[in-house]
Amino acid sequence: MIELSHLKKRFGGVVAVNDLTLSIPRGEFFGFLGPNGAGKTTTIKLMAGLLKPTAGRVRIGGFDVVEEPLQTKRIIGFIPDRPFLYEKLTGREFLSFMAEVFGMEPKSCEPRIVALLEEFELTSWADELIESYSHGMRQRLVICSALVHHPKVILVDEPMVALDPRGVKLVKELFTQLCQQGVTIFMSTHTLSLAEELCHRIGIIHRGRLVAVGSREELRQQASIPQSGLEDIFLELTREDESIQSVGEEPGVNPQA
Amino acid sequence: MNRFSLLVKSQGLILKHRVHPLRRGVLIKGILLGTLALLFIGGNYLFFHRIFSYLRSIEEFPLFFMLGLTERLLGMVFLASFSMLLFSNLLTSISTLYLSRDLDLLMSCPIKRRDVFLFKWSGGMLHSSYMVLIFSLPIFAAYGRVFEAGMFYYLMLGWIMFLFIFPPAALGGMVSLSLMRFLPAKKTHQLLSTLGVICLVIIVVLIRLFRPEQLWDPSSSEDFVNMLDSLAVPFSPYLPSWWATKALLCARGGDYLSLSRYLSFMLVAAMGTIGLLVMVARKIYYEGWASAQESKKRPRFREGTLLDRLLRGVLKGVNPFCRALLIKDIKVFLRDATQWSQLFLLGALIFIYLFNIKNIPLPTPFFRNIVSFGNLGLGGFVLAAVAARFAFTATSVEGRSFWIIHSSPINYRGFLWSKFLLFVIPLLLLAEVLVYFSNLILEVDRYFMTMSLGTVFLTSIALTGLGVGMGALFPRFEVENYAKIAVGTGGLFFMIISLVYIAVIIGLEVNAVYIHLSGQLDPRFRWWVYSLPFYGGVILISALVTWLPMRLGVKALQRYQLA
Repeated sequence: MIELSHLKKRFGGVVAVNDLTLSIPRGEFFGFLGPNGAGKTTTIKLMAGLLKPTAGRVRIGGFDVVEEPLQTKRIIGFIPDRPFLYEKLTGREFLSFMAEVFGMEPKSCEPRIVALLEEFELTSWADELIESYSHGMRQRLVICSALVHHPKVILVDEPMVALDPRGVKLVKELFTQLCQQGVTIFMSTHTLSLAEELCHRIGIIHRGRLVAVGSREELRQQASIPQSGLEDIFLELTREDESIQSVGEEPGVNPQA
Repeated sequence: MNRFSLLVKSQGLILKHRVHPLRRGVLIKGILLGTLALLFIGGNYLFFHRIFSYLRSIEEFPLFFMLGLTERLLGMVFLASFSMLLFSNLLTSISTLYLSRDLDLLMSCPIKRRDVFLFKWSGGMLHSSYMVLIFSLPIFAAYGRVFEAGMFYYLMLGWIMFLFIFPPAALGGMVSLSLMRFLPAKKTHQLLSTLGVICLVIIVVLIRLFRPEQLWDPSSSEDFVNMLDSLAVPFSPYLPSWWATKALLCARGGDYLSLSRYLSFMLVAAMGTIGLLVMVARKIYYEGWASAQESKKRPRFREGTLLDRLLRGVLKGVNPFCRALLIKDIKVFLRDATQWSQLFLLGALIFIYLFNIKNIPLPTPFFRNIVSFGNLGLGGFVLAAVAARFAFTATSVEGRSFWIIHSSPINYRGFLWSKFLLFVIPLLLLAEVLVYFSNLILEVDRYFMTMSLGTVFLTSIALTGLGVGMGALFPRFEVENYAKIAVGTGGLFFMIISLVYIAVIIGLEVNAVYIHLSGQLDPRFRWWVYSLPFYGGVILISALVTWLPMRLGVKALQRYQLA
């Protein structure tokens, strides 16, 4: 469902993402980990079409993000880390706008909007202007907007920031359920326990390069530290050590699923 | 180093980093804005120099009467400055003391709240006072020059102005502290912004009705003096503006005793109001700031449903993507007081424009034709200015929410043309009304009326296309103040191209009108055949100015990278 092939993104003299190759099948929950500034958000923005790659390509659902942006965006639900929204719209109006932008008929999307607002406990705030929403409520609304058009792929950058424990539980259950229905989820996060709990596979990016990818068991083998938790694996694989090479360059390790 | 100095130093560093990298365009913008500022200061100085010289030169009135009038004029300037300072400080202090993004950080640092307050308040005071100083100092300099004041006068002028800015700044701060203790920050700021625009409109209209051009008309000089004499300015011996006026007059006249008395009053007023402000701030600033951080749930928002139904009805035939964008843009515009309140300024602009046209002397038909062409050019300039404020900013107003558009399956052609549609109708209405009524006042013939209305029809469309297209070429999503977007490098570039376009259009039409007038002299002359290439050129250039920037804008947005 998601194919990243030798993806590279350069900002001036800085290479944010370097030769990233990855394949994620339909219905997989993929966790993307890495230290600050490793290239996680840049990768997600490349996949969402917000940035253009310097080299390589991104294909989602068979569509090339650069060549066929509209077809690609139609099947994506994007949840950014910072929820900047239209402050002067109400929550309901915003969801209605998003549904129409994704080609849904105003009347047919109404029940879907009502259901999402109910599910995310925003019904009592639905007719208030977004400017009066708290950070957590905005995050819930952004998640609703990403789901309103029934996406096949969800790209999510740090989803749990600002959510209360109830919200976190809700999102976790919902994402697991969506994966079971065949939706592919690509989630960037710093919360290792979350990745450990939800993700089928985890990729670790460091200094723009994918240094490891696989299930928790596979990562443990790659890090050569058996019987350890994800935290130890993460720290070992992202150690500031020049000798660490990217997985792609290491013989016998295939980053592609 | 104490904490307050540390805060000031941090602002210095921020300023340095802003100014230091002379990016492309910054220099040109600086030169353009600097030239405009110098022209304004120069014009202001010359205007008041003329008034003071005139008052000094009239011989039919006794000297004491003239001096009284001068004192009244200076009193008016000080009173206007005082009011402007008060209002400007009130508005600025709400945003600096309650809405600044750095307040969260400052309040969480081990810095005394009093220091944070004084740091933010003094920054706001500087920000809101410099424009008033730029406006008033040339007036006082003109007064000093005409009445042959010595160096002592100019030294005292600096000291007087320094003391003068504190009381209104402190009073403005106290009013905003009190308001913010009980009202939500954003609502108060929007309310005051709207009031500010309305006040500005009233001031601009009043100044125009004052007819300053009669100063240059010797036949009406007596009327001017009478009018100045009859102006009821509230002069109270307890107002700081009155002390400042008196101190300035004493500084020029060399009355040191009275000068020191008025300066003492001003010093006490400055220190007293600041002391009181600090006391009030200690009591209520933190509580007000803390409550401004909490979002309060308000009564249900019902207006949306009605508006939604109305807009959906009106836009029934429009493409669904464009309709969704249009409904969103119209709602955002109508609910944002900082945007729609600009319409008051637009109203004032039309009023002043028509008032000016009405007051232009038209001794001969030839003159009427010249003025009609000037009207077309000026109308185009007004249109360009309005397009810069609304059409040029159309893409940038998406702001930080632009990720929503950029990550959605939106065709940028539809996106930009929906913005075009949003602004072209109001701009067309504005332009046609402006030119139709001004031509009625000018009593132009049917040919000229048809030609003018046709021209503004094309220029409105072209300037909207140019504005929306160039706005997409130079987007500024990070700027929150919409007025700032229009005065950026891209905005100035847009204005230059607009003016060149208008000049070319008028140049072509001058030829066409010349041929038409020649045809009136010789009935056999087929003037319309010879006019066609010029009118064709106008249509062709207008179409190109509409289409090309829109196309380039679409391409630019497709390539845009949202880092």
